[in-house]
Amino acid sequence: MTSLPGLVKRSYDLIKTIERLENYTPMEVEGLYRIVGKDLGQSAKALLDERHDGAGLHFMRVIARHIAEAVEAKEDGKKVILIPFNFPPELIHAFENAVPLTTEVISTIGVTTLEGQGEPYWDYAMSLGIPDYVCSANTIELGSALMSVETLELAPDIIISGAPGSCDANSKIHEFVAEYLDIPELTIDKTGSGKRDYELYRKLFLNMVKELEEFVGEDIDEDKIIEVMERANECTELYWELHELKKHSPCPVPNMFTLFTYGTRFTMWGRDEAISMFEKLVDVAEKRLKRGEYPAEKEIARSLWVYTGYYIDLYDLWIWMENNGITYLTDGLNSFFPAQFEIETKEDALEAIISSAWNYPMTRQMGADNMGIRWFEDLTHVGKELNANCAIYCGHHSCKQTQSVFRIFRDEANKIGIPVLRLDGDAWNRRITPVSVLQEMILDFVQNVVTKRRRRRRR
Amino acid sequence: MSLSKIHEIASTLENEYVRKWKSEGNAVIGHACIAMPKEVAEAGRILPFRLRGAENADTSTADSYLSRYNCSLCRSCLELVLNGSYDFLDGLVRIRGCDHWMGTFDEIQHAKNPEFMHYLKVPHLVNEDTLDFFSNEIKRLKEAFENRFGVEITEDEIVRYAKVQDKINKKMREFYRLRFKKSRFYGSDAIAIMVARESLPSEAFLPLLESAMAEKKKVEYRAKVLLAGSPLDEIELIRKIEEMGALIVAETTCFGGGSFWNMAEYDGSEIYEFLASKYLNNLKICARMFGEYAYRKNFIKTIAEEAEVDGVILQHNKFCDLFGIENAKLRIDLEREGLPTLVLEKEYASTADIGRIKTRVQAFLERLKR
Repeated sequence: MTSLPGLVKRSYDLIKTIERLENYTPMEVEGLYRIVGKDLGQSAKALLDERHDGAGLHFMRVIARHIAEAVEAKEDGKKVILIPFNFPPELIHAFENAVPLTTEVISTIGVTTLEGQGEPYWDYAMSLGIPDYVCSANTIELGSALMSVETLELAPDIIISGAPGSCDANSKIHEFVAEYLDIPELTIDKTGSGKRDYELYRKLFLNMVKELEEFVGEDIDEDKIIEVMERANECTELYWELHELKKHSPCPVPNMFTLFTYGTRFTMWGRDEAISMFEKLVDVAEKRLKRGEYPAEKEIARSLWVYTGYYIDLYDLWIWMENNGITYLTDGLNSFFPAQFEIETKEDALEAIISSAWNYPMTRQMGADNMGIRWFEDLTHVGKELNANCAIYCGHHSCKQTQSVFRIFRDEANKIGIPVLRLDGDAWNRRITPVSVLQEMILDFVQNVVTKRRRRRRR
Repeated sequence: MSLSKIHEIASTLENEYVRKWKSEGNAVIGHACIAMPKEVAEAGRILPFRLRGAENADTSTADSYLSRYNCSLCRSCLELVLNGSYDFLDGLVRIRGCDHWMGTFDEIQHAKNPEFMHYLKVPHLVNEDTLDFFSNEIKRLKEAFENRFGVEITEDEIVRYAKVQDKINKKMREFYRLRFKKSRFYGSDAIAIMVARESLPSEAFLPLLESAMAEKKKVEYRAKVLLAGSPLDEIELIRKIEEMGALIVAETTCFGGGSFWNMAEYDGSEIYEFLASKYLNNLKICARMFGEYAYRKNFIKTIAEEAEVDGVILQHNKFCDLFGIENAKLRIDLEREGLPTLVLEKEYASTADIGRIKTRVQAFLERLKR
């Protein structure tokens, strides 16, 4: 391994540059694209797309804050807590002396903003003997975190593992990093989807909170956590407003707003930055609706992505779909079903956070008594609400749980008349399936299956 | 003679003892994990039969349910369920051994919808709360058996079978120790014995084991090796490895010593609490249990020292996240502590893989200077 710095250190510098782009015209963006190279250029073009009306930049500021807080926390002697995407960050935001750093978000930032994407960090993990079929969403960031032993990366102080019972790959790679870096790991477990399972999950979660308080050296303050949860309630309200806007056909909500939504949810939920992000998303979508502007001007497909999207090329996938009349309504990661809670005490707040964690994407579906059925029921519920006319499964290689029950999903979806496309690739690793192949498959599916069905229905 | 009988049992699914058991009006249920409390089933005259791939490499139908990114052992088992090879089972107990097994059971339900499929929920952590939870899960399992099969499962009977299991575990430890120093058995014999144990009523297995232990084989080898990693029931694969001169003298896998070596003996306490503690603590040998990495590493080291092995083979099937990642860490740590280690990734029962595996083993033996 060279002395290339880790993901957090590199993206911290780069994001600061992107933040300065606010007033760039499309011509200047094109110029920027030529300067920064293809990897960052594609992301910059996608984020700064005119249809987003500044929301992409706003999102980068949110993520920049997430990363900056981790870097600054280290300097201030606060604890950096590495969490997986399926753990509510609002719990960590309730601490004064701790900040969250979300594994999969950092991997995504690396893939979308750094030259060479996440490959150096993936390769570093592989060089230690990690198999090549583990999840790139985790392994890119965690490969980078491993480099902290050589002081090339910011070292987390503790890891929370929230995936036992819903994802082996996620749980195991986090355990590997904790063992390798010799740092503590706190683990919660989901045994199923019944009442007794919830009771156990709740007990384990509360124990974990106590251990975390001891580790950080601070009891969560009641007023602080209530404030955080009040802001989380505001985020929830805005999330559902955006969801309502997606019901319009053609859909006025640009494709990438789904990514902005869960990127914010997994990092800043319960913070003013998240409220401001959601306000921006709703505002842009409402204005588009009023003006009769639609990202996909001629909407030929309303697609429901049933697990994750692809992050290896934001422009040639997310924006490309819009340009081809394919709406990306939402996806599995965005289906976290946020609820509003009445919070009067610290206990109320913790109960609300536990409930949110239990209903997090993946935890809820893949930690259920029957993964296939719960996955199908949850996603088709969303699909029906948003009037989706097709479903697309990204076929992310390492998702062994979804891979194992995709047949159930497809069979059940066919029964209710939703055609499903199964792609095959790695959402965070471009070495597996080229973007051009993904485009070809999506277009074939939309033109030959989805539009033909629409025509048949009209007749 | 008993050893050849055991090999015969291990090479079939519905063996003669199962047929006899069923002809007497008793039920057989399939399961796929050593967390299954055998005593509870046997106390209700229900034979717990562990699902295995039976070295079946054809997964063509199963591949249309599971994906090619799923474990080939699970695909092999699913194929056997789909093609009727497991039709002698009267039901299934599903356990989330890993994501692949969880999906396999979902797909069995989807494709075959068996009349009895009970979900025994096994936590991934061992602490006061999870032990209490698991104790209740075992009670639920007992009730499910009673309701489905119309039997009464008393605590006295469970205790009686717990003591039978203790006797078998003790005998198995004796058998393993026979292999450690100057082995009279091959590793392939040991795996066959383990497979037989998972396929027979306890009362039938014990005399077979005792009789097999009395047999003597002339065993030749170049190096003594410990086998660790994911579930492995491939007797033919072990035979091929041993033909190269790598004698497997111990396994810490769940189709090996891992299933009984650390299993607690009945201590007279409340039976459900005892069973929860016995099975959940023993399950720490599996990479699906979190926060127990040090336990597993120490288990391998302890057995390696006692058996005076020359090296360790850490194996797993391709796409196994749990053992694939764990083996990477174990290799680093065991090598650091002076124990030569080979990581072997393979596809279940694949004959196409044999040449490659033999080359890897040959290179390992040369590294061991044997």
